[in-house]
Amino acid sequence: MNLERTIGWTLRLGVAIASVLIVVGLFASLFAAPVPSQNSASLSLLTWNGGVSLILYGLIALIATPFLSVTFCCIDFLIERNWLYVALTLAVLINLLLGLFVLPRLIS
Amino acid sequence: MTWLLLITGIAAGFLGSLTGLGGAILVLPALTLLFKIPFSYAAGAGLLAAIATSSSAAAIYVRERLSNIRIGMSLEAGTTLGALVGALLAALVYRSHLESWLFILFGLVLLTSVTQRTRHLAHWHSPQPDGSTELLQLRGTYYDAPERMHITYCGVRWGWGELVMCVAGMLSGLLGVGSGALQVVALDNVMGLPPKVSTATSNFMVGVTAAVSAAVYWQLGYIQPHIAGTVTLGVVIGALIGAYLFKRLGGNPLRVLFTVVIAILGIQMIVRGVHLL
Repeated sequence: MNLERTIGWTLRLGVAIASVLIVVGLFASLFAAPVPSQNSASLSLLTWNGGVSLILYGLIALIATPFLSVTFCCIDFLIERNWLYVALTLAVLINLLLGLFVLPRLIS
Repeated sequence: MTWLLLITGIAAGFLGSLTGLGGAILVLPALTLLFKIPFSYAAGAGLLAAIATSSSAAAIYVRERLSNIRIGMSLEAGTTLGALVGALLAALVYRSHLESWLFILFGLVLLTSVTQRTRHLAHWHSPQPDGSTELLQLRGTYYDAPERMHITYCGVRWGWGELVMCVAGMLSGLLGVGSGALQVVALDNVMGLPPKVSTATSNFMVGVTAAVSAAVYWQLGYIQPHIAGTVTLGVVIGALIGAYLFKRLGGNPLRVLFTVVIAILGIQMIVRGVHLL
């Protein structure tokens, strides 16, 4: 695996997919004015809200993109058996999981 | 409203990348000062814009082997930990309605970023490797196109670098920025990397840092899809135009003018914060 190429493509594709989803979502919602009460916590990802759902998926793709590249790094370090760096990349991924699942529950 | 947001995003991305500060740093001042959007939604939009612009830039830097992936990864453990603390602090600040302090802090960060100068390669010397260089394999080589030579470098003082990175991550979570400017300080001044490698590596790191902050923001409901989506799109477009002109303008007086505009925005943020106190 050529790590530089893989990461380069991951980042490029991630941003491209996110941009397309956001553009289509904005057109599908006919550029409606933002509803202040609608946000990432109040909207469910599983119920279909037309354009707004597409925008949400686009934003998720954007947030996931850097983590996909960290995951590829982690795999690459595993192949190299560079355990110090496997641990460091795992720490980054654990921080993400903490941010997604543990921290928000601590304060709400 | 959507069109205005899109145009504001384009303008913010253009100004931010033309002045070399980062395409997303002006999102929050623009949204809070012009549109009176709540700080939390503005910060959420700023984070997503930071991910989008830094990832686009990093895609190119990584392929050109300007970003040092190893050095970046070794420091991201710190930036992401800082981001968690920062996002947690932000949530507590919003809850206590103390946003005025965030306005003031943001203004100060903006003003310090404006005064920060990037070093030139001519003034750079490879530092003597230390213990952390060997332990964490902080070495690399890149091809410098203007100098037409390969430049070999190494990173030193990793512990101090990581400490500054924790602070950078905290600012990212607290203020909804990528905090690339502070990351460059850590890579450049503390760890002794060549200027181009610092910039390229920080772009790779900003995406990951901002994404951890954004994950917390997402769960707490600080991301409004329309605002964040529209602004991010605008910033990506504006940053592309800005980056294109950045290479051509060089030390043009026009850039000085734009830098002054950003400094005024910074002062306005502080004034807004003091008003809200």
